Amino acid sequence: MTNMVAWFRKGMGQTDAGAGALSVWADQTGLGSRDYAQATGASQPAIQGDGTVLFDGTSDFLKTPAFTLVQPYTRYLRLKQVSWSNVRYIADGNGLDTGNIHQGISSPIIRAYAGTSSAGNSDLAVGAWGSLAVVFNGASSVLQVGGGTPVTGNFGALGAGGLTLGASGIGITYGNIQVAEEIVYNVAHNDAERAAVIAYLNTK
Amino acid sequence: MTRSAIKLYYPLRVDAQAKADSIHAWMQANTPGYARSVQDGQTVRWAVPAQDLDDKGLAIVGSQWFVIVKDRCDGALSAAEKLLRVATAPSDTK
Repeated sequence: MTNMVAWFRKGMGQTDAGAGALSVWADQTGLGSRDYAQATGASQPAIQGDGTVLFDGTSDFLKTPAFTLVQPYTRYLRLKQVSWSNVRYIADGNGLDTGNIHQGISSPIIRAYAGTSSAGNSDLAVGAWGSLAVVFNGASSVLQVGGGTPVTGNFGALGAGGLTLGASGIGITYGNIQVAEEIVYNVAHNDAERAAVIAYLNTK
Repeated sequence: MTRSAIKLYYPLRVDAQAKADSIHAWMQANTPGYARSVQDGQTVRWAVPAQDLDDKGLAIVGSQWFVIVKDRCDGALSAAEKLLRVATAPSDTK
C-alpha cells in the first residue's frame, strides 16, 4: 500500500539504552528523519521479550522530530491498554492535541481529537490486544478497533506535524499501553483499505 | 520485564536536579548499555525535575519537586532516599 509515511515494528530498529530501556525506535519506511526517540532515561519505555514496547503510564513516551503530516492521514496501532485512566494519552501529534488518541469518558473507551473530540469507541477491552485505526480527515474522520463498527464524525482539522506515542505532544498525561506496531499513511483510508491493514496488524 | 516507577520528592528544584544528575552518573558507571547510549548521544539525562500537575495540566504552585526513579536505578539511591519513596500508581500521575 502506498503513501506510508511512518512504520514502527516490534523487535526492529530498537536501541536498548540499558536494562531493556528503549532510546530509539527506528522508522522502517526508509524515508528518514522520523525515528521515535527518548533522550531522558526516566522516560524511556521498556522493550519486552517479544519486542513489543511497554509505556508505564508514569513517565514514558517517544517522539519523532517534526515532519510534514497534515490531514487527511490514517494512523494505525497494534496495542494493548494495560490499564485505563481518564484523559490519558495513547498518542498525539508533534504538539499538544494536534491529533491525539486518548482514553476518555469511562473504561475502556478510546477517543480521538484534532480540534474536536470524537465520540467514544469501547471495542478494545483493557488487557486485550487490538488493532486501532484512526482516520484524521475533518468532518469525515473515523475511529475503529478491529472489525468493529467505526465511530465517525468531525474530529477537527489540525495537522499532526509529527508523532508522539505514550503521552500528549508535550510529554504529559502518560498512557499505560503496550505497542507492537504502528503504521501511518498520509491519506484517508476507506473501509476496504482499513480492513486490509487491520487484517495485517491482527497477525502481529 | 516490567518496571515500576516512583517519584522521589524534594523541597527545592536544585535538590531534585542534583539527584537526577547523580542518577545519570551512577547509571553511566554501572549500566554499560546506558553508558553506551550516552556516548552515542541517544540518552542525555536521567530526568527533568517536575512538579505535580493540577486538573488543568498546570504545575501546582509551591508543590515539591520530584524525580522519577525506576527499578534499574535503585542502586543510585541512598537508604534514606529509599525510605522517602512515594509509591505512584499511573492514575496518580499526569
